[in-house]
Amino acid sequence: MKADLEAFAALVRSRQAMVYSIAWNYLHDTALAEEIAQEAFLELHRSLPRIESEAHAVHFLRRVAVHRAIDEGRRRRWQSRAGLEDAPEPVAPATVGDPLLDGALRRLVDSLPSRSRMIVVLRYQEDLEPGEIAETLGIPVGTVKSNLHRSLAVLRKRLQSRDGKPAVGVSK
Amino acid sequence: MNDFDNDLRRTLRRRQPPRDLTAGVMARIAQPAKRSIFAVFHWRPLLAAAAAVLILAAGIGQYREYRRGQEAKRQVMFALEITAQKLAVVQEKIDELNQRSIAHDR
Repeated sequence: MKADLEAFAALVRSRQAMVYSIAWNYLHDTALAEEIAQEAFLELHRSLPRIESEAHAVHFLRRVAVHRAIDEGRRRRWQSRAGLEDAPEPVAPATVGDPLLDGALRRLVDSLPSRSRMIVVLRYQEDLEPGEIAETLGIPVGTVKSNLHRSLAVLRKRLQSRDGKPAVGVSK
Repeated sequence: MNDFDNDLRRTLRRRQPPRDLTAGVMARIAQPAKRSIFAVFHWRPLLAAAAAVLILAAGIGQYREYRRGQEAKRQVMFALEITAQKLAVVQEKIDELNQRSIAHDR
């Protein structure tokens, strides 16, 4: 029993960045992202008898985090929310790149419709293939592909109009 | 893969939460599950549905009783009104007869 708990604690430690980041990249709210991550792990613990492998556990955590984040996003749609500028940047390793571009891209992703936003988060944060995204969200693969294609076109166009320069190949 | 993809990947990278969530999660797991009065229904949807049907049936029964009472009250009030009207007519006749007999005596 104690060994089980230790193994579970190790799983929490190793997977918390994934679960937390799905919620944070979608909601940009540190407290909510933490709460969603904790809830996802509690849900996993309750469902442990049905979990067959670590890969299954990761898939389960991802699904729970995604759906909780989407639900929370819906709930907050009609409530006043702090602007993205007010959201504290979570602790992250130092990155190479342009922080201004980072902020601009985050705002642009945040302006996408909810499902498109989650598809982009799963594609670029989790490196999931369209088939895996479709399975996680419970929607057809074709919908994921067309949605992703459209979202990226919109993001490129908006970034281009923001910068006044061609969008393909933004980084120098 | 182009630079735009790389920029997005960097912007949406995984991040560690500001504080380690492990202790919080393990503490919540150790807590005894809170059971509210409604918790029993969470695991027994049939029981919940049966209880809802019973409550609904009891409510409908109560409402029907109330409506029957209201109807009976309305009928009694109507009967009393008719009786009062008849008594008023009788009273009028008696008064008229009294007036006549007084006039005749004079």
